[in-house]
Amino acid sequence: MATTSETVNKFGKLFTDFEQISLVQIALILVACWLTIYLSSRVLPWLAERMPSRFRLLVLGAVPIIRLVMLVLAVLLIVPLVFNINLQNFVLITGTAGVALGFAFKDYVSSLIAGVVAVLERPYRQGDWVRIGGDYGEVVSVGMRAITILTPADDAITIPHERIWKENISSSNDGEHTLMCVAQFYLMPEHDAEAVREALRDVALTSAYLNWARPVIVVLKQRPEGTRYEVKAYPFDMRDQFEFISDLTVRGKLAIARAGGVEVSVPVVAGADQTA
Amino acid sequence: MPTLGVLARFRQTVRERVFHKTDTAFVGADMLRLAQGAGQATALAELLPCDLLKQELKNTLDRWLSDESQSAVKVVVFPPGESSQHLENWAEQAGLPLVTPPTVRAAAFPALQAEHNDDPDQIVVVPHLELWILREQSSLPEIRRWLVELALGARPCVLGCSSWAWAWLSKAVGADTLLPEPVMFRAFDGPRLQAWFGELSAQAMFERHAYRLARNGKMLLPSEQESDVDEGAAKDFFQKLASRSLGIPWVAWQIWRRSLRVYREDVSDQPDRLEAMQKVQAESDRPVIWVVDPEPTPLPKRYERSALRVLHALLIHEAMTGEELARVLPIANDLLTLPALLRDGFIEAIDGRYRCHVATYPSVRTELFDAGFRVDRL
Repeated sequence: MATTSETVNKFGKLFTDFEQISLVQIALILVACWLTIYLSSRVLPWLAERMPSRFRLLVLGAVPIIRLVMLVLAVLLIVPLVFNINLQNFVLITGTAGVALGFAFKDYVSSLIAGVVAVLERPYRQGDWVRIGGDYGEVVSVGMRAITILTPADDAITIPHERIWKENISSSNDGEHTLMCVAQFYLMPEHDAEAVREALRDVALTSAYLNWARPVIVVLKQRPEGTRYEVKAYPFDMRDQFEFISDLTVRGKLAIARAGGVEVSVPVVAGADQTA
Repeated sequence: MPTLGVLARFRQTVRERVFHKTDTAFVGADMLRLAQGAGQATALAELLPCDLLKQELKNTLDRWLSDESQSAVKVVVFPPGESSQHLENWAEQAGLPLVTPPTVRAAAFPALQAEHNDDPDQIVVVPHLELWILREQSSLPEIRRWLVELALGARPCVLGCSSWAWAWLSKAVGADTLLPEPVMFRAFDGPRLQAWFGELSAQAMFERHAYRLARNGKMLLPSEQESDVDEGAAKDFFQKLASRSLGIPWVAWQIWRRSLRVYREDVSDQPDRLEAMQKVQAESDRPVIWVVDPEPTPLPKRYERSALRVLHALLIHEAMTGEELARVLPIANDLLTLPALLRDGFIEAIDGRYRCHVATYPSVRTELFDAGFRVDRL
């Protein structure tokens, strides 16, 4: 059985002698790390808004990567300054830390790890438009523990990264500069569907927001409440998505009327599947 | 390009404020003013015809005329701002009927069957398709019908179209698949521009003045009277002009006009340089026009995206009335940017129609591209 002095000796070897720990050095590393993270999270989004839009997502995506790199770098630099790292100590430290964190900060650590996975796997990036659960919005920041999305209603919603373990993440643009926009119209069934479909397609083709490089599709579906038309097209900049849908809707209504169609309003029936 | 301009100005500011180094050009920018007024003939002149371009177009179209195996439709695409009536002049020389654009857009397309029905094989020339079209839903079927009719060989035709209108028509009605591959003139690079200006310099309008580079005081264009042409600097100047103008001769001409300066008599705080400049002027037997390096004209940052939508619409349609613009813009408030665009010189109003100013076209194109708008093919 090990004596108390032997245990103290062993434990003492785990840490570097207090007098030898350079607190100034650690402080400098922490300050440099914090400063880099702070500056990158301020300067890069500012730059992204002023750069050509094709570089915007690229620049925004660099923010969490820089933060992750800086944090890893800080840990790698500070740990050897505080601990005597050998295999025995390494097992001891990770084991102790694992048990402590597992009990006390399980959810927090889960989110942190999910944050690292999110940076590497990129289910969402800053600037992307995502749907997580029932929330849809633009990812305005990707933090260590959570992301913040800004909804079309201007609500900022903080969502922990750990949601990626259990839920589907739906990204509308997936790193692209554009996303599909859909304008829906419901018409009385008696009309010239060919004419209405052509007219709605032309509405999209003459929109000032249209991305010429992407296709324009008009989808019809016969439903109990009428004939549903969906105009699917892409704006050249996803920040214009709501203006684009509004433009399609305003001009689509005129085009439908000119083509002899009559719109119907669809009563919302509880439990009815509106997305099918 | 705007970024380069900003960087150049930043560099200049740093040089002046930090290192206290000033502009080392032979004639400083502060000693010059824009060459405007009755005395500066070339600064006010209309675009001089480019014989090189005229000849190339003639050769291409004459070859097409003489080759019966070719398609019945020839499409010629021009960059925006083409005002020299190249196709019209060629049609006139070739004795071919010309279809002039309508006064009301998209009202009706040139009737391929009904007009000129004396001879169905008679070639017609439609020089500016962009002046017929309107980017609105109700006019698209008519454009589509007309292009299909043309593609099916209703009438042999030479069709002129602006590059922006062609790009949009290719998306909206598949013009690029309906009609044969269009031809476009070869871009004017530095040597081509220099050769063109060399030809122009022999004309009387040019010979009234001596054109010297503000950078080093040397002659830019050759003349019989003065021979101190700096070949290297001239080559560099025209290279820069070609780059700034995207290789489009009429854009290069307008940028050239904006590069012309005369000296300001009221400035005398730099006696050495003033003396050197006056010496050069005194030795010249003609009034000297100083030519500064062509600089880009970036769009002000205060402009909203609505200004870009206006410029984009104007480029597709070449020139539009306010009423036509209102029909193609998604938001009525977009029109409120017109006064600012006019004031800042990015658009001009001619005969009640707005159009992008040719001299600022390269900056506008770059800005539209950077903002994600689809642009034409150069």
